[in-house]
Amino acid sequence: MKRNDLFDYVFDGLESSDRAEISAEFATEVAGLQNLKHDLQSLREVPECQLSVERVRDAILRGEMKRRTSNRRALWSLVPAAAVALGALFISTRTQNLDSSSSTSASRSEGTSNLVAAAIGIGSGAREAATMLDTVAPTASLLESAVQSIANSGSQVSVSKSVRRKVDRGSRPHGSSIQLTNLQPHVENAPPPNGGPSSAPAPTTVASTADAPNPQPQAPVIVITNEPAEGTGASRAHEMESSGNVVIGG
Amino acid sequence: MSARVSSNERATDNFSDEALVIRARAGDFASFEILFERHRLLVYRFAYQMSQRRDDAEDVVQEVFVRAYQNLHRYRDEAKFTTWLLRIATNLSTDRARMTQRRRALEEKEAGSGLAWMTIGEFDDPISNLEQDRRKEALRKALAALPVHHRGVIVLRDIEGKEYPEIASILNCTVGGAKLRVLRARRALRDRILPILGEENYPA
Repeated sequence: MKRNDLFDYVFDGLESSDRAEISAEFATEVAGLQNLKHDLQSLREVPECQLSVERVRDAILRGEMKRRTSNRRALWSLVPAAAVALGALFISTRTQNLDSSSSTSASRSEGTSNLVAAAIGIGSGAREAATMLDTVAPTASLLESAVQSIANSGSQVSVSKSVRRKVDRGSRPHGSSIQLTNLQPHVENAPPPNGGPSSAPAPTTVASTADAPNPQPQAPVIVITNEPAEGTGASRAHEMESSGNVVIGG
Repeated sequence: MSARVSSNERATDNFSDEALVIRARAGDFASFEILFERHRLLVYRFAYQMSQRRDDAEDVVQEVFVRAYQNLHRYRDEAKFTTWLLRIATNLSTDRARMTQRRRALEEKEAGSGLAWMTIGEFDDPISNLEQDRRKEALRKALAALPVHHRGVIVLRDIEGKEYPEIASILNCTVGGAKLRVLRARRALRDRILPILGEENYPA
């Protein structure tokens, strides 16, 4: 029998087959543990409990009140958080409105349906603009070639810029950011026609065709003078072989 | 006769712990007061053995019943109501014992080891009574000096006389685990009390 089993034997009253052996071998231990058990049981005597039901009732009421107060306090603590969230929402909405007013996707803040409608509108506008530009493009290219031939003669020309500006203004639908790619065959790496004005670079026009790397073959230049023709009385036109012989202006 | 028995049974059922708990859950505070009057001594004895101070024990009892009232909806009928109460009391006493450990050490140092000379004991012989009081006092001190988890199982098993399944339910462990804890606690108590009283009383 193990020494640890003595606790079970004494405290829990387990039946042991070799009781005589225990009594002989562990007599003193068993007696000591029996004393311990007896003394522990004598500790059951405790002073009288003076806790009244009224005290417990008050404590329960206090606990309930404290819980309600803490709930209310928790609700109040949510108020600043809600205010901050509202402020953030307001600021973000306002920022979106500012962005949309300065960009072509203005209707972004007005909801998805508005956004879709605006996209459809811009798309149809772009299609119309492309059709118009197809008709305008040959004229513009003619003008460009004429100006380029003049520029080759070394004079400063700003006709192309103004012409292009006019074409841009006339053909571009209001508020859209469609790039006039038909008019810019010589512009390298032109951005695709999908960005707004902030994302698309300003269309580069040939401000001075003297900078053009490959000048086109020279077209004949017709100079109209003020002197009237003898037969008709209308202004006389002279075809010049080289633009170097032409002086524009005074 | 059978009708009377069944009505008595119904009356007993109406005042069973479970029935009172159901009524208290529904807002009947009088039912909870009956539960308090019925079980407060059980909780108080346990709390007193754990704290060895009457005021601390009463505070624990109050807190136990406040928590029990606030958490009545969590009480499940698979455990006895007293088991549930003692589980709350064990947790509270453990927390409190850890908090007041330093305070108790200081108080014991100040009080010294004086014994009460005027005693009323169960023996006619005053010497025997004194001897018994000395042992009891030493045992209280040894019990108070035990780690709180050992103290709890000693109180439950050897002072309050709870069965192992109930102890296991209170401590939320298996019955085997409860037996092991009790054995370790008894050994720890015996080892602590030997230096105080000598081997003539509790031989190793």
